[in-house]
Amino acid sequence: MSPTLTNLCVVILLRMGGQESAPVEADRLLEELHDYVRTLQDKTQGLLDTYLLNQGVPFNGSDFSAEGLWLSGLPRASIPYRAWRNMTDEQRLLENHQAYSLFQEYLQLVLDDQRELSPNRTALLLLLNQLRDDLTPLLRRLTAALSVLHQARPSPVEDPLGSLDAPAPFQRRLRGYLILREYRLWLIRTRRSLAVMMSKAPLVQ
Amino acid sequence: MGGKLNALVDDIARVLSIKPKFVGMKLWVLFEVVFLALLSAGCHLAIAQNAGQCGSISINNLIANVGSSHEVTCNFCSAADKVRWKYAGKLLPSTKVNSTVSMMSLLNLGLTSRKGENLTCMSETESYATSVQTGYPPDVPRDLDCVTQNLAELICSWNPGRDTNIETSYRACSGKLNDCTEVGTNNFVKRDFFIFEDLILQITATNALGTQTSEMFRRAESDFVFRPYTPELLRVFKGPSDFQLVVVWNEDGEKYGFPLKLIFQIQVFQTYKMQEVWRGNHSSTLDFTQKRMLQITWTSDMPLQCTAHSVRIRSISNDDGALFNGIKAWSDWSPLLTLHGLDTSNQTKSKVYPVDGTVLKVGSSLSFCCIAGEGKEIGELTFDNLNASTIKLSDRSKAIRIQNISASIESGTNVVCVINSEYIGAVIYIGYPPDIPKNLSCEMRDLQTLNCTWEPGRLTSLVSKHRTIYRLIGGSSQISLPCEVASRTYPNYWCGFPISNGSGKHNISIHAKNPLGETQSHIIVDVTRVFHPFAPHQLRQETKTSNTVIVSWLDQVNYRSVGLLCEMVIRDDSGRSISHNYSVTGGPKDARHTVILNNLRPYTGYSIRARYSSQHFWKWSKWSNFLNFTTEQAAPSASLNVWRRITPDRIVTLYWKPLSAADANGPVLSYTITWTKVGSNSSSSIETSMLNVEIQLDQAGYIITVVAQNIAGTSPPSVIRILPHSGDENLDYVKVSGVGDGFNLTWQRNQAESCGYTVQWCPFLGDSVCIINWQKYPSNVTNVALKSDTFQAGVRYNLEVYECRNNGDYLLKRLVGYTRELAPSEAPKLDIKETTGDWVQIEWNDIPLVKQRGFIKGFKVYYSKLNNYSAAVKPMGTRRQNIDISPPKIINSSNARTFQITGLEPGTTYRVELSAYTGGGDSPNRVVTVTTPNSPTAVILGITLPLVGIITLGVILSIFCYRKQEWIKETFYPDIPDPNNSKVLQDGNFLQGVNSCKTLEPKDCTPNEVQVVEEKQIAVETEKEVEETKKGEVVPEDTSDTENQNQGVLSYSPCRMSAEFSGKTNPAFEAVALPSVYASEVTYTSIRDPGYQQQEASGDGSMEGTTEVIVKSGYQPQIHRATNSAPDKEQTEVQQLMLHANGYQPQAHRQSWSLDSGDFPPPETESVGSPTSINSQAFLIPEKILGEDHSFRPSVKMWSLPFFQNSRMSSDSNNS
Repeated sequence: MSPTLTNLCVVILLRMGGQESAPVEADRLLEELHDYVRTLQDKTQGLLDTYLLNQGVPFNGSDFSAEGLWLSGLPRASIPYRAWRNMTDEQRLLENHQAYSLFQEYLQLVLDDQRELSPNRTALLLLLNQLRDDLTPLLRRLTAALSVLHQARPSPVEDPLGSLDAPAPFQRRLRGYLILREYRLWLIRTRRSLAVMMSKAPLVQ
Repeated sequence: MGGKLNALVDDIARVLSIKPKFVGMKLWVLFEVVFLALLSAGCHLAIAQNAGQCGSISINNLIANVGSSHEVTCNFCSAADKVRWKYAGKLLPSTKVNSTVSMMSLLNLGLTSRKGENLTCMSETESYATSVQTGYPPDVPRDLDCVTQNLAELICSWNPGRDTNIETSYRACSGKLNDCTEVGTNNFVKRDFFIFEDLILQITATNALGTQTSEMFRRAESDFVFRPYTPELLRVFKGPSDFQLVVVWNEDGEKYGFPLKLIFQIQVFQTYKMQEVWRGNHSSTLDFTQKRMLQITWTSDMPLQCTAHSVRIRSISNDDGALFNGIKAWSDWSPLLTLHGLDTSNQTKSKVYPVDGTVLKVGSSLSFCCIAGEGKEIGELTFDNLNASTIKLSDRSKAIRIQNISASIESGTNVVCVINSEYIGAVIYIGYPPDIPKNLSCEMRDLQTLNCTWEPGRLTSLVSKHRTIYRLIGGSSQISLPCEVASRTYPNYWCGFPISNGSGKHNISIHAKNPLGETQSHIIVDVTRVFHPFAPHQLRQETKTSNTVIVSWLDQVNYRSVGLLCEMVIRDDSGRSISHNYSVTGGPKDARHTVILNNLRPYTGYSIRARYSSQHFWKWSKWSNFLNFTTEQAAPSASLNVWRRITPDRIVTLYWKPLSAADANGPVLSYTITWTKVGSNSSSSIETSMLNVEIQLDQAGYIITVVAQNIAGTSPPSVIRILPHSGDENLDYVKVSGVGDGFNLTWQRNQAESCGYTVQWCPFLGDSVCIINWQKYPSNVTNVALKSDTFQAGVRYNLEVYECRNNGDYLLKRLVGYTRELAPSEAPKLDIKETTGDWVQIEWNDIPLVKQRGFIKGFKVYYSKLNNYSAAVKPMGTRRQNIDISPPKIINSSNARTFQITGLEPGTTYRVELSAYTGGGDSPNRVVTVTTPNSPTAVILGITLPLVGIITLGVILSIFCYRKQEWIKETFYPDIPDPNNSKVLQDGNFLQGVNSCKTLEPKDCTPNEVQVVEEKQIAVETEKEVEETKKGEVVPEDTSDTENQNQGVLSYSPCRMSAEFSGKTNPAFEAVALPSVYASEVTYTSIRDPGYQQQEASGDGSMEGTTEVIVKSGYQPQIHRATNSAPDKEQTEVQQLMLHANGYQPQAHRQSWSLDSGDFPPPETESVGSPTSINSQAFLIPEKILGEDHSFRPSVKMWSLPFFQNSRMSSDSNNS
């Protein structure tokens, strides 16, 4: 049975089940999500350094930083505290789902760029490939959690890359850095949001 | 201008490089060099341009580094002869350049005030001034800290370093392009609080003396400090009680805009000392949607009137780490709010708190205070009789703190305060809040009220108006009813609750309340299950017969249609009881119920009582009243148990046993005896009220009928047949042995048609009346264990066994026996039938039968020789005193009445005893004394031998006197008396007796004392005795071994002593005290010598109870034994001592006094070192003499031998 079908079955069972089992199932889903995000965090711990090391000067310098730069269109993890604090559980799940849907596209972009720019860096390419593939289970779990909260399945995001020009290789390298940096921040945000949701048990009444 | 340039450079650096820090450092160096060079050049240029103008001073508002030096020129427009320079109010020296120009040097400028100092140059007509301000270039900003109060905005502040003393402005730039903020002279900047993004700030400080840029600060959420807003304290006031302080503050939820969790901390001080007395926390999740006030009530241990209390509050975030993982800090304390006490008011009346009548809980710890009126001073404050120190609360208030306060007495506890010699006080009641009512249960008794009972539990110690008030709450509408009476019926409180009908379930609660609290407990009561009816009322007898009775009773209350169970217990007069249960349907009040009790016994007293319970058993009611009655009489139901005794002359005595109460059915009034001769129709009858009757019958057989009669009728007849006269029944009595409490009897069945057996017995009690008793047995019984309460041990019973046949009862057996034999209670009467020299025949009579108390089996004869006793003086009846114990002669024949005692000695007195014995033991002894007559030969020898001895002695004396006549004459009758050779004159007592003894005649005047001391090996022999004694051999008391030829000193005294006197004193000692003029009658007294044994009364040597004083007149042969020719040294010493000692000396060898000799009892008089006279008890040997020779000094016990001897002799004297 494919994972998608399994997920569907879970959702169907949750919907068919009584109200009493929903909170338990939601908590279990949140715990799974939380654990999965933590796994992704562990995987991305050395990702940024690996990427920069493979991009040449000045990227591979020890003091390289680009704090003031960000990529337009890329979902930003940074958010005013109160806005984040006041978000509902549904909003948290939904924004995460949307963000990681976009990151699926951006990571594919980075992978494509690196295949072109660093075709021989197989380790990096494998890592990026794995990174992109890891988002599919994450999105599936987020979708399941949204279903428990009786939220409609989020609509697919528009391709964010359609309007992007084909930049120069330096910019592509820089872009890949910005995408990976923001992806790492999103994983932190997602895990924190899930912790807040888990602390407010039960998720649904 | 420099600051602006720096900012410009910074911006450029950020724009140009995506690594501002890295690139910026290089560009900064370049631009700084260029622009600072230009700046410096421009400034000097301006100064130069300003320097030459008329009417000016060369510097304009100088801002300079502390310690720098500057030259200042003042250009006057007109010639100035006299120029003065004043700086900071002080004149300074100057140099005149020309008539219009003056120059002054400011060297090593100190730190000016923040406003600067004025520098003025003045001529007579002109004056020009400028300001000089010194300071420092800015330090590098450091230590960036970001704090948020609302989690929306961050206030990031930094440490500016040293005070520059001049205006320094700051600019904060983030890592983003064009994201800089000028903050002026503030050392903080506000930023929005973004999460999941580090805050990057670089601070640039600029003033007139320089610019410094900080490092690029990076701060994450975990570095941020969340310090909430300071809570706004609204009010502080006293609560419902004097101990409660209420604090109200503003929650300020709207300031945060989201449901934040905060902890509020409230701190309470005693204002006078600003001493913290309480600090408590209050958690709250803020309601950000509306303005809300929070409050907390603190209970003080002291009335708030005692002194002022101040309160403040602060808060801290209580969010968990998922919501905010930064640093949580307490907000600032709010300003203090104060609740003033009465000690600061202007009232003049003094007060004590808590106020009079306050009720407090046991175990509380609280403070009592006394507040003096204005202008007064507190003297003493006491609580009950406790010694507790007072605490000064303020100038006019003192308190006393009591820990763990205990319950007060009912009248309360006094708190007394003395103020200016005036007493004020309060009475405080200390108790417990009401306990939870325990064992609450309800029951219904009258179908209208539920009676609920409970136990109040622990007593509250509070009474009167502070007592616990109970209320009963129940019913569908939960009606509350007071139970005022309840508190007065401890320990089982009760309260009634009305119910509409006697069914259904009720939720009943009991609510207890007193000033210290309230509790309650409740139960659900199913009324039908808790029905406890009242007892049946007025139980009474309606009618009765001999075996039935009709009983009725009333219902006390209305029990209409209620199922009841009535238990009736019937107890007869013998104590047996039975119970009957009756189901009864209740009726209205006073409805009467009736039951019939059957199967009662006639003429029997009964006691009846009844009680109720419900059909669903809950409890029994109390018992009703007792109903006592006696059933009617009925005719006796059983025939009499009749027996008879027939005398040879045909007097028939009929006996019958009274009917038992169960058979009699009423008092028997009389017995009717009817007898009919066999073969005849005529009958006779008599009536009696006795239990036996005698009738005279002829020789024919008779049928006798006996009936008992009471008021209701007669009993069934009891028939007994009397056999025709058939002569004497010659059956002998056979002895039968009892079994302790009865007899086991067996008999042979003679007739197949036996109608039973009768065992008759009769005790023999010595009189002629034989009380007949009998027991009947069925025909199949041939052995019985006959028992009766009337059987007594030691009583002879005659038993007869009869067999019942058709025509009468036949005697089968005659028996005689005792249930248990005892020893005869009396001895047979004994007498001497005949006496000879060597035998005695005794005879005795029978013991009376009553006193035999058993079958006499035989007799025992004891006889023994009396020691030196005359039968005439020997008391009768005493046994085994001074007699030889000999085994008895047993006569195994109960018929023997004489016995001959043989082998006796002639002339001897014997004691003879006789006893009879049974299976129960021996009777007492009967004693007689008999003296066998002497033989003629012995009489002749007894007369002849002394006569021959006297004659022989006279012949010998005559021969002696004849042969020694010259010596006798020379000695006793000299021609010329020589006083020096006269023994008489040598005695000092001669003169005393000269009047009565003028002529020396041997008969009238003898020497005072002649002692013959023979040296013998007494000591040696005594030691032998001791050794023999130690070997376990029995040493005969007061006798010596017959082989011991060495005995103590023999002494004789010439004093004549009567037998009577000698019986009381020791003659050997008495002689010493007698005057020498006593008649010269030489007397020998022996100290136990075997040679004298034969002269003493013959016996076994035991001297107890036997007079052993030997009074011998005339000559006693002295015993001369072999003496030790070489007496040892000690013997010599004894002799020497005896020569020195006047008076009595112990006449035994001192070695025989050895303590080792256990034969001698200790002396009664402990004459240490000196013997005592047996009469005077005075020391006879002076202590001084004894003290001279310690080797001779005997120990205390050394005198035991003479004492023992004397004591024994004294005892003998007494006995005689």
